[in-house]
Amino acid sequence: MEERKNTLSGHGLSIGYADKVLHRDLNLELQPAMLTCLLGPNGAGKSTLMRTLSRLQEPLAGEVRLGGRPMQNMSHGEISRMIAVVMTDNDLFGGVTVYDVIMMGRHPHTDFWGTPREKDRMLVEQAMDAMSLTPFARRPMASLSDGERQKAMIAKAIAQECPIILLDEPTAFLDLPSRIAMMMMLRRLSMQQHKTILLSTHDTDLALQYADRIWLLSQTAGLVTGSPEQLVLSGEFGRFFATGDIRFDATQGQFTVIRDKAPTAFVAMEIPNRLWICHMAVRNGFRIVSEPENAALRLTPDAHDPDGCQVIFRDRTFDVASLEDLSQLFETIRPQ
Amino acid sequence: MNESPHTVSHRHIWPGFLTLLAGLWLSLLCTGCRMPQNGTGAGSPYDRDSIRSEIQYASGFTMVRHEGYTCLTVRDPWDTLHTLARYYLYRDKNLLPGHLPAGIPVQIPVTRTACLFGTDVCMLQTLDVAGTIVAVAEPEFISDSLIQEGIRLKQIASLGQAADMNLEPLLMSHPDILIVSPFEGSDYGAAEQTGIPLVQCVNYMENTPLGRAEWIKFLAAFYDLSDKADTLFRGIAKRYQQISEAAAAATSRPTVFSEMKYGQTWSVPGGSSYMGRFFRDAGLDYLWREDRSTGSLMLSFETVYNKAGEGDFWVIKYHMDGDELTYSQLARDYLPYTYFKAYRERHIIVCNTARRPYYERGLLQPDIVLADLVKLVHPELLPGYEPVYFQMMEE
Amino acid sequence: MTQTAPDKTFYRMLLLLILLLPALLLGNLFIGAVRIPAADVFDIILGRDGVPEVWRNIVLSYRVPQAVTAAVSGAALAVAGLLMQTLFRNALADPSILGISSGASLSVAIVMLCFGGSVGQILSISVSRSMFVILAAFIGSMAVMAVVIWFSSRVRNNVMLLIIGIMIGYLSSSVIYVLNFYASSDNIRHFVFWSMGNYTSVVAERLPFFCITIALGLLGATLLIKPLNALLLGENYAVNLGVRLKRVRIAILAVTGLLTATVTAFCGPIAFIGLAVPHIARLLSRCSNHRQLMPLVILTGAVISLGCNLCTLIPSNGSILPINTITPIVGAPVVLYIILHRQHI
Repeated sequence: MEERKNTLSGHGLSIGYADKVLHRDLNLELQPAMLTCLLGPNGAGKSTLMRTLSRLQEPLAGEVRLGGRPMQNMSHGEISRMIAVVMTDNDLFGGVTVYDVIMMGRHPHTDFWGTPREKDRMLVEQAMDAMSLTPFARRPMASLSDGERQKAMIAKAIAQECPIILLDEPTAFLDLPSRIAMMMMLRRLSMQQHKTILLSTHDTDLALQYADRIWLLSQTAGLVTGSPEQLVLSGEFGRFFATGDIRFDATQGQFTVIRDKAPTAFVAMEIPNRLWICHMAVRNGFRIVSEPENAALRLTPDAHDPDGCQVIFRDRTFDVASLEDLSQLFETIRPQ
Repeated sequence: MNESPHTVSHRHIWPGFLTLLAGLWLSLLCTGCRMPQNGTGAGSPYDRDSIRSEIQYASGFTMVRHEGYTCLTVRDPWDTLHTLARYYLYRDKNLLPGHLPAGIPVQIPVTRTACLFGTDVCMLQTLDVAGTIVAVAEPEFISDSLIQEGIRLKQIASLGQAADMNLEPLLMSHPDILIVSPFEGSDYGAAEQTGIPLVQCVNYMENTPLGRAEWIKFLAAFYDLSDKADTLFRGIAKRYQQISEAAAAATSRPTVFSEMKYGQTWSVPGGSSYMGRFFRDAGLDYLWREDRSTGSLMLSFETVYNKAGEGDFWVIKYHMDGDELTYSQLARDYLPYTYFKAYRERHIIVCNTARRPYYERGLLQPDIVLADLVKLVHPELLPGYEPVYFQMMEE
Repeated sequence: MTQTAPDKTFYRMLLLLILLLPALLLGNLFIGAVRIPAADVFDIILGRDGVPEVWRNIVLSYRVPQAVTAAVSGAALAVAGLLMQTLFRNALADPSILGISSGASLSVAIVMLCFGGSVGQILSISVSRSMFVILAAFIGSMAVMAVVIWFSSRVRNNVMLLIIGIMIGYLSSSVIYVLNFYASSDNIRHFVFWSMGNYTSVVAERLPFFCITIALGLLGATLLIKPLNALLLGENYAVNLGVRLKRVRIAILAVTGLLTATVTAFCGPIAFIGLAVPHIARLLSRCSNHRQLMPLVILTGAVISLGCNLCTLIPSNGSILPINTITPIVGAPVVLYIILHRQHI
């Protein structure tokens, strides 16, 4: 029963506005009880797709089905108990407090006057606790940081008790540790409480790490879906994000800048902390190659000093004892 | 101040700004260039053969006849120590002395007149010089058929709004003078710079009915009709005096109050105002006679009701195009009106200014306005008289 | 720990207002342009004999309707202001923002300036002048409201509505300006007096109609408490919480229209109360939830309006200041405070 209720799918969807169609004939299905990340460049229509799926906006053609039923036939009240949204526009009016905002999540469940019952209060406090917002309960939303406001809106979505949660760029205003915490929290939510979560984001790294499914949306290629691994290994992911000199390096699982004309550097496998030595070379404008032949720069272990290394640059040899020395050396030999 | 008499005085040449700052600035400038009242002081060579014309009731202007010209001085009604304007009326330019204090020279008789209001038109009609009118403002409020005909045939130019008149038709009609009725602090902006002499007719600032009517002498001087005006006014004053003496001898002095409540305000004429004087001369006891002000008092309904609830007569002037104000309408308008004794006893005197030319002609006929009031209050004093402006309110 | 019940501040303020309201109502009966000894006012209220008839009429037929009108109008305008501020999520919105009062002014201007307040003969019906002005104002504001509602089902966001309202305001003030040009000075004076606002013209016989209409409007506003709260989060969140946006928007506009039209028709355009009172209530109570805000705004509106009405007696020589000269003195500092402390509103 639960399985059936939290499915959300689009069939032959055209989305956009009367004067500008963004996508035609999209077919999609949100996997129940999973965390799906929607990735795509700005202007690809991520927000429009999420608005259409939550019926904040009607599709231009096709239909959205919620729990197998066409959403057009459902009332907003019915939908409000199944889909909770978290948007990017969080400017609130009238000095609303954090507690008030989260309590509004209970709207679809309260009576005509919105009277909160004991259960509602309990759920609000739980949601507040889950987002560690309890100390802020009586603070007006306007006095919080963007990140805290975002968290309050997510707490509202949790309090709304919907099987499906759609979040439009929930990590946009957060610093890196908070983004990771946010993703882990959403993942936990989907795993432990079997919530179906769709979130749009620009954080490809985090998406690859935490998402169960990835949706790639672009103006040119439309919607491509799959698990992170599938998409990366099939090269779909790399093709999707290829722009200019920037490529997705499937071996390293990260984006790099292509530098075909950069001088080459070879870093021997035996070098301690090789990853970060490579990092320093790349940062200073070199391209890492796997063979020592013809490399402009070669770093090999120093037989006498296990902490140091030997550097050969254009037939000149340097003995380097520490990272600090290496860093200074790079400053003199760095290509212009 | 020893300017040539041919220079036009440049008071009020600055455009009127509505901001407080500009207003302050303006008043500072004006104070700097105000002419002293005693401009033609004793010992000046021009008053050797002068004759001061007798002005009995009006306090706003003086008229002094000199050899070859007449000097008309209009007092500033808002600052009575100062002069608003001075005119030198002459028939022959050669007879005008070379050095006169600042003032506006005007050759008389004037043959082409531009004026702004119906009252001015009526005054000119009374003097039989309405034919000199070449331009008027707000023609829709001038009921005179001759003017309407002139407008229709385009013989008389329309200047649009008096407060913001259209200068092109004014210039095209080449008037000798432009008759204006300035408000305090108002100026006629660009019209003053056209070089057309502005005749500042502030008759409405007079606080007595005869004083207002006497301004006909002021206008008449511009048409060289002073004798005619003297005769006319003498008749008006005489009749007015006779009626008011008869009214004073009446056995009763009923109390009176006037006007109505608009919004939350009941604007009551002050005790020393024009209306206050009318009531006194009509043998009525004006309930606000103790008050010294010449303007209006903005009172609340309960203040008026407290004082006038038992008043004998109630005089209402109103402006209604459609129908007349009646007792039943008054009750439906605002029920507390019916608590007044004057209402209960059907002692309400009304004048619908939309139907009767009270503001246009009544000003010039204070004897008739007074007779109306006396007839309605003391009918026995004027047997056979038919009121012109006022009447008892109908059911 | 978090408190789930409203703050103590709310109850304190509620209590204060409940005490202030009857005090100010009585104050408006005892204090007036005419000095009537308090003992006599007591006798009049208690229906005892031996008081001059004139005083009895002043208290019962003038002061009582005036005080009730002031209280009811204040409450109505304040609630209308609250609805507009929440709907448009704009701290500076007020009942006049939709052009509803401009519509009333325009229609009254046409009646007063063109017909001198009487078209009885033209329409061959018998209505009094004051009733005619009331009808004109009501029809004018309802017409504007109909236009705004018609637009509201066609535009996507509320900013558009705001612009439409402001445009209607500009249009009608320019038409009024033109009408002024062609009107007689008498009629212009009457129109100016009308536009200064006035609590004294609702006579006792019209009071029940006036109060019932306003009561219906206030009831309507109360029924909207839940969607109003949801709207504080913005339209998208409100829709996601199950609010039927178009329907709620129309309901809010209709209730605001009814309240504003009724007050404007009977009392003229009363400035600033609709703008300032919701803020005063929010600032003093620190509430944002309409469940608490609604009763506070109703009471604060009535209290401030009664207070302003007392202030019109300041000249104390029998003359009274127009109500619209007093309300900005109360309202303007509040608006300035809002602008300076924007982030907390």
